[in-house]
Amino acid sequence: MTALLRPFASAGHLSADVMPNLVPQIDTTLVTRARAGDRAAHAEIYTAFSSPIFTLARRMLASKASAEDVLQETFVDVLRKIGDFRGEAELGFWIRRIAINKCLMYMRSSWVSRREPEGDERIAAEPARATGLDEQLALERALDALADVARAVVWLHDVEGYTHKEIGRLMGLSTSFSKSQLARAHERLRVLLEGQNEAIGDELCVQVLKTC
Amino acid sequence: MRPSTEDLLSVRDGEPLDAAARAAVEASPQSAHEIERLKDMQRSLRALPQLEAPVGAWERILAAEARARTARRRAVGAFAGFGAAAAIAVAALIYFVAAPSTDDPGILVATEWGAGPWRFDVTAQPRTQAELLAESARLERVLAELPPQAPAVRLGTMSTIVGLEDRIALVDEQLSYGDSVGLARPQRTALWSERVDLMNALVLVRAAEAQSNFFQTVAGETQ
Repeated sequence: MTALLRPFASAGHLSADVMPNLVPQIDTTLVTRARAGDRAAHAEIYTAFSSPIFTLARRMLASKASAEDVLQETFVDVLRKIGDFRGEAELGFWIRRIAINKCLMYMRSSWVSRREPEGDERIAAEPARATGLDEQLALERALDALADVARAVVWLHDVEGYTHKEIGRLMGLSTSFSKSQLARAHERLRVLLEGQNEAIGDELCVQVLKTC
Repeated sequence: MRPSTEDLLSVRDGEPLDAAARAAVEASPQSAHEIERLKDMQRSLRALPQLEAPVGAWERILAAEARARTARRRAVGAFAGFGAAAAIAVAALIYFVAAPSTDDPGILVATEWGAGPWRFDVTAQPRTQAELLAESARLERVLAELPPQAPAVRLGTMSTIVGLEDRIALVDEQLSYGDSVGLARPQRTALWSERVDLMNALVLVRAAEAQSNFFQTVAGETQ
């Protein structure tokens, strides 16, 4: 079940200097097979894109359960609509657009907003990384602490490369709303990260140095 | 005057900025440092590690897809009957509401169609893109305020809701794709108009479902 991956070529919103592993390139014969209903080709596409799509959903939605739902619903849609995919855009961008729309639908749905926060599940679920672990964990925590709309705007703009105009359209809001959300989100991230650094410093004082 | 984060982000992203704001950014000694910090934040966000999809997700997707396919097949049959009934109901409604009064109420006077206030011409309604955006956002808010969907929903209702949500998602995709290919304004407006119509329908179905749940709950409590 190995996907036929080619070197990344920029298209759509993301570019090669942004996140080269997020939109793997798929061989056109694989797409043709998938459109014809070849189950093995569907599985190869899932293998190539499941991780990027799950990451996208998990970053946009604070809840792991919601991210899993979005992953599932996205690929159910992909399986259902792949026959109609005409290749106007790269397959990867097409799948990402479906996932982004699903995430926005989840944010809008009232029942999801009633789910309980999941605390430190993200941290517990992640394997330890050798470099920059503390900084990445701190950033993940801070991102989770943002309001849903702010988190989505930050991710869509700063990572996915959407313009404020596009974000406004996606969310049914104005361009200036997107701009102000991004600015507020960055201010909040700064406060949260500074707070976490202080907390980590205090913890070190107590647990390691025992002298502060 | 200290430059705002919004202005600093505009400079970071190479977006246009008015002269006064640009002057404020250039005059502030902290601006360069702040812009660099915002660039670092963006780099850090992009450098966050990729996460592995949960084990067994593919099997669950295949099972969900099979369930959805079966539900769609059943819904097609149900919709065919429902569609015919709805068409008859709408035709009857238009006839009784819109038909002008004549000496012979059994005959429609064709020449008067379209001339009176009863004319049903959707395309004649002036709806700008800004109005449609505002209406779309309002309907999103209404939808968000509705009670959560009940765990057990009738198959027909669920199929309608899923169908409408799918069509809204498709319109969203088309709008998103339209942005990347420079879709003309009239086409964008048409898509937004379609989105508003679909959202309207979705709100009505969800509201009806919520009302039905409410009455069932009340009936259950009184028994």
